[in-house]
Amino acid sequence: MNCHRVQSLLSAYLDQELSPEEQRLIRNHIFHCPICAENFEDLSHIKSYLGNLEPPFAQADLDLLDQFLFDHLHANPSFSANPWVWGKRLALTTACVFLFLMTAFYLFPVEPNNPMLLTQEAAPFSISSTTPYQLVSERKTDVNFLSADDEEQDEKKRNSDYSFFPEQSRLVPGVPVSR
Amino acid sequence: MLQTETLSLARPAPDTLSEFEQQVKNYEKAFYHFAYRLTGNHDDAQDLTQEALLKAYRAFNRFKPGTAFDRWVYQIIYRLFIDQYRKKRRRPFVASLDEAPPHLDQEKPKEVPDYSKLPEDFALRHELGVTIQSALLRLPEEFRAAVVLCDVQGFSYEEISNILQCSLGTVRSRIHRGRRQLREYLQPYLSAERSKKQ
Ligand SMILES: [Zn+2]
Repeated sequence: MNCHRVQSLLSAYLDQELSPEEQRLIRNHIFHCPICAENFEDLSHIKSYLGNLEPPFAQADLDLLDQFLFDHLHANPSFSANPWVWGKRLALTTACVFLFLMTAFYLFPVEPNNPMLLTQEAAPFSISSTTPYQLVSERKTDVNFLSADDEEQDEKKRNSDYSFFPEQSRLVPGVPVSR
Repeated sequence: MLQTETLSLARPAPDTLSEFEQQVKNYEKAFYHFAYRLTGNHDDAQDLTQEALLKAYRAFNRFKPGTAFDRWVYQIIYRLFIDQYRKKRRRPFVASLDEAPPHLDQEKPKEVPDYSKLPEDFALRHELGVTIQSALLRLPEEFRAAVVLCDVQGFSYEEISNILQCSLGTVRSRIHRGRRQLREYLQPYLSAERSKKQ
């Protein structure tokens, strides 16, 4: 083995990551070659410098680390476990509930002159506590957010939007409307 | 029915969290030390460790109980570090890491104090620590990680190849070249050692 070859293997020799045969050859070479021996000494010093490096942290650093983990993992462990899956599950559940409610509204529309609603209208204070769906008429909500000009345009738009429905269908099903 | 299902799914697995915390407790110092040697400062080390541990927790269900937890997390720390470093770095990335190392010599030359007479006290150890860390930071980050895992963390080449996801030959070459560069940067200390011996 020449010096070049030996020097390329010195690090692995130092880490005892060579075959027994290679180790023996290098040990012999170092014994006779002062240049490679010095090289090897340097590398061993570097290894021991690094091995003796003092841990850089104060206890405060680790406390911060623990605090962080505590905050994140305990705050919402289920979401931490796999937020992606949980996001999808949540979305799916929401979609199902939404679909269910919409179907229910369309299958069982509430007539505006339903006797039950009429009695409720007679006692306005009980509406809020007993009406199952606290929705307001679409028209009424829009008015709050629109200026007079917009309102006119919106009225046209709404008429065209709903033109394919028969007149009664404009009412949002399930919603008691008072005019 | 929907509601019942949602509730049961939302309940956290009781063992996972405590098992994870136990594992972290065993190794957190070592993780933090590794992150510190890679980044060279407390804030980045803290961020890196935290991010890696969160990532590890999120993927904890994929962690196989028989395998080494620490090596798995070291791997996450290393990958995060490499990703972030490449994003932050302004210089264009050197395509093959095991080819020519970057021309570090062109960067600001450091003032080299005279280390020929070294006092054996805390101040010196501290100063040596600082010098070694800044030498580490001058290494290409792949060499740095390999050298730190070997000499600071004490892993075998095979374990390192596992963590860095590269071949044994690559590990050997990175450690060798990393140490050779360190030898240049730490020459003043090394010659002081030599003269001490004589
Ligand atoms: Zn030689």
